[in-house]
Amino acid sequence: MIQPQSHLNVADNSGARELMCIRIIGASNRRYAHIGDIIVAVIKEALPNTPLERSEVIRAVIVRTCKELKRDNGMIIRYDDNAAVVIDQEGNPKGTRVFGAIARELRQLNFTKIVSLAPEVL
Amino acid sequence: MAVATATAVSLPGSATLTQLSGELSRAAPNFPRLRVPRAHFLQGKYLRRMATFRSSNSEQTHHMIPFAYGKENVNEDTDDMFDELFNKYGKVVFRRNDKRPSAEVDDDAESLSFAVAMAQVASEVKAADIKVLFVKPLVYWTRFFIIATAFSRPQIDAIGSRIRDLAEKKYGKVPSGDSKPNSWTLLDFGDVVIHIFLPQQREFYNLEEFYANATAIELPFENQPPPFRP
Repeated sequence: MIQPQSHLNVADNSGARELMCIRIIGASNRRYAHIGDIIVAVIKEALPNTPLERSEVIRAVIVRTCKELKRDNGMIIRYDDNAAVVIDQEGNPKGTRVFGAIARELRQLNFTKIVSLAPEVL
Repeated sequence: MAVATATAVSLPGSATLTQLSGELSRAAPNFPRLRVPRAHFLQGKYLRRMATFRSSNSEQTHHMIPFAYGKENVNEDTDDMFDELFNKYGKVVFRRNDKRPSAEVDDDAESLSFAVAMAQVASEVKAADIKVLFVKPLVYWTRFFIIATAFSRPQIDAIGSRIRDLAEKKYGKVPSGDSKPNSWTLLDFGDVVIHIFLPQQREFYNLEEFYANATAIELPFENQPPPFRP
């Protein structure tokens, strides 16, 4: 359940460290974003000497949420943190590697690029 | 024969689960069961890894889990018992008795022929440096990766549409993934995932290195080497 003003960790090596959601892409007055949703975010913290800088506005895909993700078979996945992967307008990830476990739902949502860079798919 | 080996697999299998859940604890603490491997047969290498995991569990040592599973160096000393089993039964151990082993092999062969056909089409449209990787031992969600380089967006478009046409006409498969040409265009056929890169992006994402442990498939046609690579 990510909403504007939520802070998220960054699960890739793009150089950003922390994001703040400012908008959810989709319907006009959507309240919450879940795994696989694209958000507009602002970079709150970034590593020095990387292409991304603090206070830059970017797009990101949510890959992990503390809110449980339910599957049809009854499986429930809950992560310890809220995390997102920074993407560009075309949907290509800005980093080259994704960290941590991600859910396979991302593949159905056409984020196979993120899935193929991830070390672990649940 | 299959029953005897199946029990051998299941014992270290449970040990692997607990070990992995320890490694995963930061990301998914509550789901040690999620790591049940979907692959129905285990190759020799994989079984050896399980053996290593079991022994490492008992000695309370920790392995760093590398990016793509299956990458780590396997300690040869710990699995004499499995060596014996390998000598007796061969390298491939089937886990489930209700599924015919040949069905899995047939699926693999089918995907392989599809992947090679797709690579052939890509090479006809002058894609360079085509690689077909068998990634099934590393990731559960697909069997083959095809990685190719194109030198312009129109060329990416041409390769993509040729591949789509042939896949739909001959194999009845429709890809998901990018519909517009992109600097990294991905076509997802389920068992075969095709990546078409511009040279710059190919170097940037460096997928071959990430999947370096996957076995490359020999292609039956002449493969153009990349013409320039700084």
